[in-house]
Amino acid sequence: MTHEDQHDQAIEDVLHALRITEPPQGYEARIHNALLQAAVETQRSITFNSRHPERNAAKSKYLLVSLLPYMSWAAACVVVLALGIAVRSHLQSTSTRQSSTRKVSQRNVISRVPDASPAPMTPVPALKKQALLPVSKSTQNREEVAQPQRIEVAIQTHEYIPEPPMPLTQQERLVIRMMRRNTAQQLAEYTPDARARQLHEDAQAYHDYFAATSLDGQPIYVQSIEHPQISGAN
Amino acid sequence: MISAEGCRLTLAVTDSTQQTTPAAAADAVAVLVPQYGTLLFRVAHAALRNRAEAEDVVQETFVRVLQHHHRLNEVRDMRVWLVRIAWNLALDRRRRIRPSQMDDVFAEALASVTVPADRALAQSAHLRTVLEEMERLPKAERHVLLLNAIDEMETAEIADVLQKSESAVRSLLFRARTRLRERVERGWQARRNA
Repeated sequence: MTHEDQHDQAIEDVLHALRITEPPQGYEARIHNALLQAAVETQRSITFNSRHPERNAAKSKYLLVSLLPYMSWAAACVVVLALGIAVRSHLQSTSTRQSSTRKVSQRNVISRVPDASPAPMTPVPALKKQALLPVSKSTQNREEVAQPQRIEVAIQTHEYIPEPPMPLTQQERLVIRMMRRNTAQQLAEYTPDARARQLHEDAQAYHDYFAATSLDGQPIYVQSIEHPQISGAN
Repeated sequence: MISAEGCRLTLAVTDSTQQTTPAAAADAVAVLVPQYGTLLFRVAHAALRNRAEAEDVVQETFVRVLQHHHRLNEVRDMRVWLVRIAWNLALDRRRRIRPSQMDDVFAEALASVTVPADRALAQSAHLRTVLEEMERLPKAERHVLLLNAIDEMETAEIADVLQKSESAVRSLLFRARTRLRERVERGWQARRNA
C-alpha cells in the first residue's frame, strides 16, 4: 500500500467514524426531561403572570420609574442638541444672506459695464442666478466710484464674465474686410486727400502702361487722367 | 400528529399546539426526538468531536424548537431546519471548546484494537494528523466536508443548511478533499522527518 493510499484510508477512517457515531444511551429520555422542564418553566411563568397581574403592573411601573431619570437625561440632551443645531443653522443662514447680498450688488454693477474686452468663459452659476436682484440707489453711487478697479479685479479672479459679442451684420463684415487690406498705420492715415492722391497715382500708372504698349505704336489711352477708360485699338 | 412525506413534514399538530399547554407542546416536540435525534447528534459531533457537548447541543436544539413551537407550521423542511439549528449551536459552542482538545481521545478510540501496540500508536498518530489538517482547512470547505461525512445528508440538504448552491457545495467538497489529502501527505512527511 502506497503512502497516498494510506492517507486516503486515514481520511476515510476519520470520516467513517464521524458517520457512524451513535448517541449515548438514554439521551432521548434526558432530552424529554429537559423538554418537560422547559415546558414547566414556561407554564409557571404563564400562570404567575395570569394570577398576579398587579405584580406585572407593579413590575412594569417599577421599570418605568427606574428608567425615568435616564429618560429625563436623554430628553435634556435632545433639547440641548436641538437648540445647538437651531442656533448654528440660524448663524449660517445669516452669514449666507449677507455674503449673497454683497455678491449680488457687485454682480449688478459689473453687468452694466459695456462689453469692452473678451474674457475667458468660466461658468459661475451662483453669480448668474443672483444677477437680476435689485440694487439700492446709494449702493449704486458708491460702487460706481470704484468701478474700473472692481472690473479689473473681477476679470482677474474670473468672477466677471462679460456677455458674448453679438454677431456682426453684413455691412460690418464688409467694412472689416476692406479695412484689413492695409496696415494699421495706413488705416490711420486714410483721409479723403490720401484717397484722392492714391486714385490719381493708380490712374497715372494705368495710363503709362497702356500708352507705352499699344500694338501700332499709337497710344490707346486718350481720355483724361481723372477718369481712365480702356478704348478699342483702332 | 406528525406525518412524513419524503423529506418534508406536515405538522398537523402545530395548529393545535398554538392553543395547547406547554406540556402538550413538549410532548409534541418530543415526538421529533427519536426521528431526528441521531442525525442531530452526528451533526453536532462532527463539529465538536465531543459526545457530551454534542448531546447538550441536541438537547438545546429541541428546547429551541419548543420555544418556537407556535411557528412550526411555517417550517418548510423540518429536517433541514433542525440540522441548521443544531449546526449553528454547535458552531457557537466551538468558540468555547476546541475540538482539537478531544482529538487525542477520538484518534485513540479509532485506532484498531486488534493490531499490535506500536502499529496502533502509529495509526493513532496518523489519524490525529488527519484531524489536525481537517481543522486547518478553510471554514467553508471544512463545513462541507464534515456535513458530507454524515450519510443522511444529501448535497441539496447541505446546500440548504449552509445556504449555498449545490454546485458550490460540490466544488467546495472536491477542493476540501484535495487539499486535505495534500496537507496530510505534507504533514505526515514532516512528522516522519522530525
